[in-house]
Amino acid sequence: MSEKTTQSGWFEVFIGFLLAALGIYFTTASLRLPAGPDPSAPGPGVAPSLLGIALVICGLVLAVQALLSMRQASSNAASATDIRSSNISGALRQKPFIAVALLTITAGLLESLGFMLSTFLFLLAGFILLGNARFYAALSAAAITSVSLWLFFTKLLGVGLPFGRLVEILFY
Amino acid sequence: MIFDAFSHLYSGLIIAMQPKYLLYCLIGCFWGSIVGVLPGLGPLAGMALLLPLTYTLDPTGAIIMLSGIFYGAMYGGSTTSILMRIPGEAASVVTCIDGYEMAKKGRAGAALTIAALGSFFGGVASVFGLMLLAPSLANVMLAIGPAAEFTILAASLLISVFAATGAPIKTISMVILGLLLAMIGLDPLTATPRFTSGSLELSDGLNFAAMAIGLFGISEILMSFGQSLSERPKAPKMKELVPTKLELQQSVMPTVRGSFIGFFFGIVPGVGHIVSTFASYAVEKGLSKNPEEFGKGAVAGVAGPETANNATTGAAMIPLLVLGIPAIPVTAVLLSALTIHGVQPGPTMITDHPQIFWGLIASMMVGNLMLVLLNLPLVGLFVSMLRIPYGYLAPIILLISIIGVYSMKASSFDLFVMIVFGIAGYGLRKGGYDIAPLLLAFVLGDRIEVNYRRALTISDGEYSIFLKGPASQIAVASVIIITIAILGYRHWKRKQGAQPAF
Repeated sequence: MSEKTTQSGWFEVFIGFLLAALGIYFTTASLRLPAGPDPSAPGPGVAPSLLGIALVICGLVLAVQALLSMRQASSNAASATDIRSSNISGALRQKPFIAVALLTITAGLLESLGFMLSTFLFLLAGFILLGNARFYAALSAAAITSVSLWLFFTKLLGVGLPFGRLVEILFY
Repeated sequence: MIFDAFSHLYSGLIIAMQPKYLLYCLIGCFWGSIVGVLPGLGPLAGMALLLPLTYTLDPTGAIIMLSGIFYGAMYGGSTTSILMRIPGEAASVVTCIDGYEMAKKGRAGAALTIAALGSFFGGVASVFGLMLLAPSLANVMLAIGPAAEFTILAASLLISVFAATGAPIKTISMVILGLLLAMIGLDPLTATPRFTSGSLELSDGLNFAAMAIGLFGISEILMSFGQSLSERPKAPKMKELVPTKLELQQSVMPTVRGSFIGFFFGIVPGVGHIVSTFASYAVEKGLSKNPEEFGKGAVAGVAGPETANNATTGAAMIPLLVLGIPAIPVTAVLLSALTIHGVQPGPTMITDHPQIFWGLIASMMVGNLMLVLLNLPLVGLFVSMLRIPYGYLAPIILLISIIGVYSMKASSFDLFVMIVFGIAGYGLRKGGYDIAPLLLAFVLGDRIEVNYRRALTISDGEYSIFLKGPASQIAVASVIIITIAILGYRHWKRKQGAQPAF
């Protein structure tokens, strides 16, 4: 069995257990809610507890299915050649993680640094890390794009975007 | 009745032709064409990204713009299918087969024009169908009580489970998860806080736009990093866009049939574009005197599915506007946009908000014409957009997502909701889950629960109420028939040794 198949198999097992865990959370939390006086007037806890139990069952079934199919694939691959090639390079695999990290940092800094500065930094890092741009090209593209987007959204569409606490402290 | 419909259409045209609505329609169509052309960004992501920005518009303007994105994306998806054999969105997969073969024979321009004309006729035909059918259907729906409404909503979710691309158990878990996520916030009947963990931000429930942008916008961008365009597409010249007389003749009947097929599948909740395009292709191949030409550049293989694709778009508005049921996830975004503006789609919408209803219908006709006039001359521009490296486009699209979500409530919390759902969407898609039913269930969750509880209160706890009355019985019968048809089709395809399309 190839490394890639094993990884995706374990990933499916993980998703199955994660869904089951979410189901357990919803079920236990809904048990604390009123179930209603009798079956003719179900309260706010009834539907989520039933759905929570259903999600636990589905999650466990999915996890077991994934484990069984891994076992099956492992026995089928015993005589086959181990193929470890992937058409996606390591750098491309890292890009989704870089994008999420940049998004999270920007979301955290948006209100303190303000729209213009935080988006400029986001774009600069994004163009370099995701687009493999050269520093000066990325610098100018980030500056032009962040200013253009600011003008487009605030002046043309009337969207309110934050100046940022840093700007307020420095200039007001 | 027909005279009334045309008289309303005329009043709708007066609304749709106002300069500001023409501008919104143009922006929607243009943005829709871009997201349709760019592989990885579908109509759902395109609409979700601009959804928060429509909150500053009036309800008519908002729905005109969002609908423009919807049918613009459906339309734009054919460009990359024909020129590069890469479907811009899932419904254009069929067009790749013969459209690309036509392009290889030097008929790319003709294929684009045939697709454009087919889309136009399909779109306009479906709008006429919507205009004639909607008022009568609305009257029937007005007589329906909570039990029947619950059964119809549950039936549409069940159909979406069977029509989804993933394994049924995976889709069922997505539906359940969507329903549970819809329950976060205050209980709609008793105002009891549920699953909020004391958070004030969660007491209003999860922000739909943040969730939709995360699930579809962010996750699609993350998924697209692994893809690269190996081919540099070439735009056809203007004179190459003119089809021959024979090609036009060969496209007439597939266009007519595609309109009917697309309209039929558009009305059925939960089925949608992929099914209608494949059905149209199968019908054209079955009726053709030269079926061996299919797969080698048959004109009917482009005209039929492209017409069906856009006819489905118009028809999908019927369940949304008349029943208040989003038949497909894209119309769930429209439902959310309308609800946020205080407009509840459903049987009373035609009488309560005629300017929105008829304005939208008229704008869809205008928008379809705009798309023909916009897409053919600008095909070079759209093709040149495909040459921009994805690493440059992605940060800009991500930034637009941030602006869109933040601008709604000026809340960083919603940005984190977007990121969490972006990661979840990416992981679930990597794991082979179809996440569209999750969004559909999330949108319908509130109404499903409220109607379930109200119906049980009316019936004094008697569950048989959900199967009483013609509306419930028709809904249940539809689920059975559609499920048998889908399972039968899959069995037949597998027996032939082929992979089913859905």
